[in-house]
Amino acid sequence: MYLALKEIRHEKLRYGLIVSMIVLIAYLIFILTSLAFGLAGENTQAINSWDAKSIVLNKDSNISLTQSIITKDQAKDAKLTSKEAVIGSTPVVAKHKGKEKISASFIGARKSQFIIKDLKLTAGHKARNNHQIVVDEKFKTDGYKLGDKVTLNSFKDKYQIVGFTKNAKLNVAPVAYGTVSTWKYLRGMPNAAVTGSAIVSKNANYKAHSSHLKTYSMDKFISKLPGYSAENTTFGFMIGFLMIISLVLIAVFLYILTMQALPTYAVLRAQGIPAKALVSTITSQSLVLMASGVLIGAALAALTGWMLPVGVPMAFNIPVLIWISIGLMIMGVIGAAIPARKIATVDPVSVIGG
Amino acid sequence: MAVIELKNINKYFGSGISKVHVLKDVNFAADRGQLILVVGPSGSGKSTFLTIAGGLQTPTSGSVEVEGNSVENLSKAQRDKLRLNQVGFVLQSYNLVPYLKVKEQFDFVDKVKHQGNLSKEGLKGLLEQLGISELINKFPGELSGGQTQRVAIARALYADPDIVLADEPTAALDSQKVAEVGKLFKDLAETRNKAVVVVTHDLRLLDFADKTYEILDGKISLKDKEHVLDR
Repeated sequence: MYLALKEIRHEKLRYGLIVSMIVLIAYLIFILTSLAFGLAGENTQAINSWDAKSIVLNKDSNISLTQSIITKDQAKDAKLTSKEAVIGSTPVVAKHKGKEKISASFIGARKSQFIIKDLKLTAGHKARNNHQIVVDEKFKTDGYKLGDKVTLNSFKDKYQIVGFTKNAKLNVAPVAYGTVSTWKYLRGMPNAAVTGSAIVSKNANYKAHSSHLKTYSMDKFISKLPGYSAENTTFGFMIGFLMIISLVLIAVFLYILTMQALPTYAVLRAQGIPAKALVSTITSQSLVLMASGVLIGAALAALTGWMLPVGVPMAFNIPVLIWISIGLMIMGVIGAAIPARKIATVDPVSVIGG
Repeated sequence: MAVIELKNINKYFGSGISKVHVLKDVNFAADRGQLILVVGPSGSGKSTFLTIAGGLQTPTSGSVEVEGNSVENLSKAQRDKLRLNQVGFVLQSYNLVPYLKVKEQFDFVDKVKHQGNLSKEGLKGLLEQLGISELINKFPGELSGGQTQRVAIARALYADPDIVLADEPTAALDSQKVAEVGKLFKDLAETRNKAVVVVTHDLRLLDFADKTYEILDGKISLKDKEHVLDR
């Protein structure tokens, strides 16, 4: 460590350039990871808040909540306990005179079941009739307030915003919670013998006992949300590739620096300095460079997150970012392996006889 | 007893028709308090002699003894330890770590060798003897050739070795500096009771040597100064 720190301190420009490259890569990884989590969160925030383990959909719905309809006949044998809740989902556009239109997901649910019972409000109260809704705070940031009466899609009926809730987004759209009757009305089948779009359950093994219905795990359901898997795979690929770039970068830089310093290492070996001490120098150097780059990159990413507008979906998942930082450090150690091997095998005889 | 002794050393490189007999039945001994020169032209086997004496290479046959202990049977790690504790190397170039100040060169030795190094007072005395006390805050790149060699000598002696092996320490120095380095080696050998072995083709050092060996075509022999100068 002694030599590592002394060399870095002496060659500030050289090592500063390496650190700046690592900073940029770490920054990009942190931003992309936070964006990936932010976007994933906006796809699933509402689902996560329900804390449900499984979902029953019409088996012909292609695992799509908005395509699924469960009739009363299909649901007649489904036992609904306190762990189950019926929901109806449909996309809507909320409008209010003088305010921005908002594309939202309407979720109709029964107030006696856990989705509405467990709903946490940041302001107002829960819907008490078919013309009241509780909406995600995105509405508030877009200028909507309690008491505003909005229209949904092309219907003339007005729905009063009576409450706000946070972290309620589904497929990136803010959720408007209302009643199942309102959902049926918005789907254009107010009097149809329909139960809802789905039955969600906190029981992973819940069965609806109908050949027309199928139970899916919540993870499977989430993975089938439109664009969800493609988005996450793309982010995963970019982050993985950046990790590999960081590995190559540190390996190339350290290799070049080691090759330049090889005669000095050979002299030190001739003087009896153990190879282990010299190998630990290059490994420590790599760790110091990576740690500096990661810390500065993390600080810049946090600053960026703080400065970005609220609408940019960034979520800093600290445990994941810590794991990524550890991953980058490991990349640094792996990157130092090639130059370390070069040092370990340097022939001290090469410097005798000039 | 000789502090370092080479007995019947033979060293071959290569094999078959390209096999070269580099050192031929070399016998050599150095005592404490002596400056010993090993002179010879390029390609005579001087460097091979030095690397075998310093435990960097093993001979094909024969034995090397340091303080009566055989070196050739030591493991690589044990030979590292031998060089760190008992042998000080002064090389032609790259002697010093370029990004360590002079005083840090000694600190680094302390980091890898925790015992047996000179005390602070001992180092101060050594630096004064070498005339480099005022250079301790300089980097090697800020030193002249002569100053660099003096610091390298101090670095080699800091670990308080029994033997100092120097490889062409006066290369690229002018005659005045050569005389300074020669006198210095002789003083160090006498005052610090070290065996100083200098491998060189620089005959300007002959005046300072207690003993002079000559290597020619891999054969070593003890010569007097006049004989070497005559050749």
